Amino acid sequence: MVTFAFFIFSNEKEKGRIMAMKQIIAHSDSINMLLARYGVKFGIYKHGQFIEQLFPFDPIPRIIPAEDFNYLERGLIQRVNALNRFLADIYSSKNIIKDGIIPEDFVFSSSGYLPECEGIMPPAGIFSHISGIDLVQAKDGTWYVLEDNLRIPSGASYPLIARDLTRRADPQVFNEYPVIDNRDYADILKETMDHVNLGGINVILTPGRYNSAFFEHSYLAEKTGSVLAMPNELFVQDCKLYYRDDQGSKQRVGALYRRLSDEFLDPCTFRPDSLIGVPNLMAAYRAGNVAIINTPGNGVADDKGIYYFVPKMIQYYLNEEPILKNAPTYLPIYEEDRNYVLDNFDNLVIKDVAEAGGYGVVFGSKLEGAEKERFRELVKNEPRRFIAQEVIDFLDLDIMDEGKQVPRKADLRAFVLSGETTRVWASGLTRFSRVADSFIVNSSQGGGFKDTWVLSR
Amino acid sequence: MRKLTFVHRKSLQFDHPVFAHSFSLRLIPLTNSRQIISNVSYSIQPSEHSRMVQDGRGHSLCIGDCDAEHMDFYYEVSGTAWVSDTPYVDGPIHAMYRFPSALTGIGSGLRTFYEQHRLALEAPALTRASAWMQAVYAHFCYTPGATSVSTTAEDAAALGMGVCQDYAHMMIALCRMDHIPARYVAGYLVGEGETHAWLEIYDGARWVGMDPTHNRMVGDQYISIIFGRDYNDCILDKGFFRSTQNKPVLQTQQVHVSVFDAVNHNSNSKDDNL
Repeated sequence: MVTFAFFIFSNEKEKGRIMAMKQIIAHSDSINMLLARYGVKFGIYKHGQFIEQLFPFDPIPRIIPAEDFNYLERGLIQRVNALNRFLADIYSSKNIIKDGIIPEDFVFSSSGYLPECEGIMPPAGIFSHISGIDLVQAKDGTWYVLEDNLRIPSGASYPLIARDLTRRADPQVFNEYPVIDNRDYADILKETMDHVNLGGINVILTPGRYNSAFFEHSYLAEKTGSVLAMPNELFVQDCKLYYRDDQGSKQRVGALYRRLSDEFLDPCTFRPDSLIGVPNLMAAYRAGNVAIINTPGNGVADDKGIYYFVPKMIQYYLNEEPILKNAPTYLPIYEEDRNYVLDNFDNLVIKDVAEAGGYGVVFGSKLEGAEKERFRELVKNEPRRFIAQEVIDFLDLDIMDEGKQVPRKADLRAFVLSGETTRVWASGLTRFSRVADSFIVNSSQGGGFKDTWVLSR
Repeated sequence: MRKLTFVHRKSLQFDHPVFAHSFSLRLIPLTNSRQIISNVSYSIQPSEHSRMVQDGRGHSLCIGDCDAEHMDFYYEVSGTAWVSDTPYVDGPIHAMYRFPSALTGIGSGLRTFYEQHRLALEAPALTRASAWMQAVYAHFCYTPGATSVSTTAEDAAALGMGVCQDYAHMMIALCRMDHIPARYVAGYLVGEGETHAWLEIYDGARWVGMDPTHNRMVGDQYISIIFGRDYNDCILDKGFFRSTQNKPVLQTQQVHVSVFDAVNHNSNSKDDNL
């Protein structure tokens, strides 16, 4: 018998929530069976081998009350608008650097900065069409932004399909409980692509089935009515991008939602040793004949070092106070911060700015002896490589573990889509660590996911 | 100004037919305050849909493709360069030339070298850069084949052997460490049968061309084609194709570059009297 931690609450809302939860959990086996049949998979590389595994789904949803979501929505729209302004500025006049708000080395020594993108203004001036903003909620209820993902954030399909299957398993719950329907994601995504389309079809470019998010690429293509293409099905001719269909006839591509990272996008422009990619795609993009979603070069704005400056960007570009908080962050490149980091090493989490997906994250308290000394030296010698953050005591969420309800660390990836307007999808990917007390929730490290229910009232 | 004629030919042979071949070629040297390029003609074979476009740094490049099966690829460019006998080039400074790039990253070897050879920061940028040029020239033994196009400054410095590209990368790394902006230049040099590489440093007002391979300032025998952070930004030709057989394509190539003083048949033209 499952014991519910939330029984201590007694108000009406909580009663509704408990009822809904009980019903969903009762159906969890059939939902997981449906997920497996649907092929909701996540591939990871382990010891050099590609292993495809089911992305573990937990039946207990994260619930975000209407007033929390309203606050998050305002904060996220503000943040993404400022980040888009920053990208437009960096690849043109660079005023934020001239005005001394951000030191130039944080921008131009970042591996995400691409000189090949200088002077290109993308259609409608939008650089980050699909932004994945990672947040955590602390035990006191405060939300903190942990990371911005403006390159190719993945994960929207998981709550989408989980919701779909949950509704199928138990439609009643959604009639009785005021959960905002999240099945509009594909429509918003399609509108986002259509808004910047420069004439032609919408294409989702996948590196192929050996990519950790291949399931998502195919799912989103189907749901948005886009063509799912591999790099060798696309080619550039006369500075225009084309898709070659099964019959061998070519179709002009107006918007390319690429799920391939910048360095592999165009071997004529970026890494010449890349065997994938679409040669001369950048020339077609620069000529204004195709929209690339998200635009190449966005990595300069979601670098872990640049993160520190996002609240300053909001003040600079929008003349507003930031609504959402950053986790308290220190940059060892500043002497004052470096001393703080070295003095408070055990209380901080140190992140390598070049790494992603939960790699290169070290908790000061977990290091011992010589290893700790070595790391402290590294921070002293290569200060630009690291940021340090206070460890936020996340609010635990309950998950079902072998029939028992146990608390686990979890974060929330909110999806913000920028088209005609900037909108926040009323759902999101809640990822949790399957290991007790671990803060690493990334799916590439074997974490699981939950649906995220945003309440309408 | 010195009037030079340049001719650059490259041919590739594949061991079996390829198709769906896309290319991107940097054919036309840049025009700036030091040099003026004119009378450019070029040919690319086989080629369809070729056209000239500009990249993010204002350099022109010729892109195109060839869908039909072929076993050879050839391009040729020739033109006239009017070159001033000065190392100085006007132009804006971009902050990216202050920081390490993929091939000019700093490791312990370069850091030690830097500490051993550095001059006081009070010395003017050009004085310090000249000292770095001397140090790099003395450090290397010019050795073709010891390094490849992907060798970093750090690795080449450890080896002490290399070609013009390695000399340029090492000097760029040292200058940037020494707070002198520096950029890589690929181009032609009178008397060389291949392309050459050197660098330009920013002295606070303008760019100054320096050639560590020859330990001298750039003069009117140098024609710049393109500049960037390092070799990766300055690759002159890139091409991608598909193989008709299920095995890797083996390629052989011949490059021919010649740069020589143009015979001026119009030395008494009326323009001189205007």
